[in-house]
Amino acid sequence: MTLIPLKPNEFFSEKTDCKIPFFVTPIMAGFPSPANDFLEQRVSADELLIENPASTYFFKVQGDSMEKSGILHDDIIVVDSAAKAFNNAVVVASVDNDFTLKRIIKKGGKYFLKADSFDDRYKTIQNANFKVWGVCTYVIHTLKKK
Amino acid sequence: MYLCDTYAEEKMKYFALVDCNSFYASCEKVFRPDLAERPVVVLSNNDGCIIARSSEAKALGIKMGEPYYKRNNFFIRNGIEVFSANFTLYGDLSNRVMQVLSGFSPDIEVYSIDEAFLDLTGFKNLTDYAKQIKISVERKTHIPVSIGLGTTKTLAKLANYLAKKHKIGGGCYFLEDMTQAVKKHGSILVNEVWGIGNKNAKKLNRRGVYTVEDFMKLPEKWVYKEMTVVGLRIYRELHGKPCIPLETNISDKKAIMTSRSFGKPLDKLSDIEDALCTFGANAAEKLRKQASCTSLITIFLETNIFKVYDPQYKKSITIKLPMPTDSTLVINQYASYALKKIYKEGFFYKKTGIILTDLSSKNAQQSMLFIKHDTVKHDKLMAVCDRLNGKYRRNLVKTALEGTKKSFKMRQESKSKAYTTKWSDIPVVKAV
Repeated sequence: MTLIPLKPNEFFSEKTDCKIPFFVTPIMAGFPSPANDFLEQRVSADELLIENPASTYFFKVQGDSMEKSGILHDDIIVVDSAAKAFNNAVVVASVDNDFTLKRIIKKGGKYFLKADSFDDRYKTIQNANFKVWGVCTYVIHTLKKK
Repeated sequence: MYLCDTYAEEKMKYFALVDCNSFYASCEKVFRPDLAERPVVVLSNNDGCIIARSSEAKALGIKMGEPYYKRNNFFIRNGIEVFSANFTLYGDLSNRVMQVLSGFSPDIEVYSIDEAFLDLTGFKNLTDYAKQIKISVERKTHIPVSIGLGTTKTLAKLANYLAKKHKIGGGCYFLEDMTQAVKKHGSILVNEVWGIGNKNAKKLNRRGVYTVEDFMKLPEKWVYKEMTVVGLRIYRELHGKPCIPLETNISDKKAIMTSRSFGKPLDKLSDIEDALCTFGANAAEKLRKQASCTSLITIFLETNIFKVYDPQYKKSITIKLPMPTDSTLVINQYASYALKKIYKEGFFYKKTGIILTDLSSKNAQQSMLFIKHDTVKHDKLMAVCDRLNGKYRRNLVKTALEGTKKSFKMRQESKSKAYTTKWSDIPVVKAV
């Protein structure tokens, strides 16, 4: 291993070694804002949408079986695995090795997963075949021009 | 004089060691419901060896650290899903687990990426509480965990080992009585105790001590003499006397190193310089994160020592800086200069790296009147770079020296998506 001192004499002189205060930040001159005493943090989307950061995940929706709920193809949904599912809640469930978006219904002591669309072509899934992964708390839909 | 720091309190202390089951493999299963009960393995950087196996993969006889290329047909035939390490994902999921755990006790020590100690002194019905913790973590993060409970950290860790090995208590086990535990589950080898490594285990074996029960019967004086105060702490902890406190503060590093092996051997100086400056930028970022500056930079360069028939070359060089710095530009400037001094043509290099030492606090810096670069300008530039790289993507903003070609990049054939850190990678849910 080689140690190379990089010409220290270039930077130091053995004679002058006193420390002089060096002001690095500029000092503002002018009129202060009357709003300074009342400033607050801006509202944040994170604060609104993410109640439990550790258990919140974002999913992209593919398909339109939940159109009636206002969740459309290509929307982004906020899913909270800590939230408690309630009757008719929109949930992400794992069914047949895939993630599916449905409403969970409790009927006659049994649980069902139902789609929420304007036509009747989507099937209902029964209790034994699914597991709730998380509850959908918000849907984010883009209105920008595509 | 205290030989070890036993607690003076009379109150009984309780500790939990929570650790994630097959962590990396479990992370890969979180967003893949199709892999729920399938064997999964994770490979190290450069897809070299196996660093994680799901329980199903373990059952197929796959060993930890096994090199992957030797048996890839076996993997295909048995439907084993193979992933390249995705540390971005593992890091985020680990943070989530730790966040959930911190809600269960005010005192938590994050011991590693997948383990944490909790101080549960004062909590009632510990086994029930531990079960609650397990259910909560699994529900919120989708990562299965095992919990060991004990009156000391060492006992908690041992309890965790027993919970996993013998699958007792549904993944939660309170090691209250060593004699009872041994009676019920058999002898425990002394190597399994946290802190007793192979060297000490061999020493104990030579004295005829193979099990934990035998170790606990040894005279204290012998343990202190042969295993120093560290061994004595372990001994006392096994006897139920807490000697190792929870470390809740992360101390600043005294040296920062970034180095990687190349995906393929490199012989061109420009390619190696690319790599070195990328590592330099990474190390500088770590430096700024802990508000430190460096005064000593070490660079090293080596060929592949396993390729015994190839010519070998291994060299390192250390440079003392005229003044402490935390600027990527300055560090890389000197790193480049140093590399040119040790690089030799005609060799195929396998690895390079940079080590920053002689660290000092950024706040304690004194300005020098004759510095060649403008510190204030660099500070501002570095702050912007760090913010952009953190917000958008790692290494989005780079210095020219880091290059754009990236011929040294790691082999990562099958890396999963950054499900929680990139908008383009978020998981898909079907509404069909």
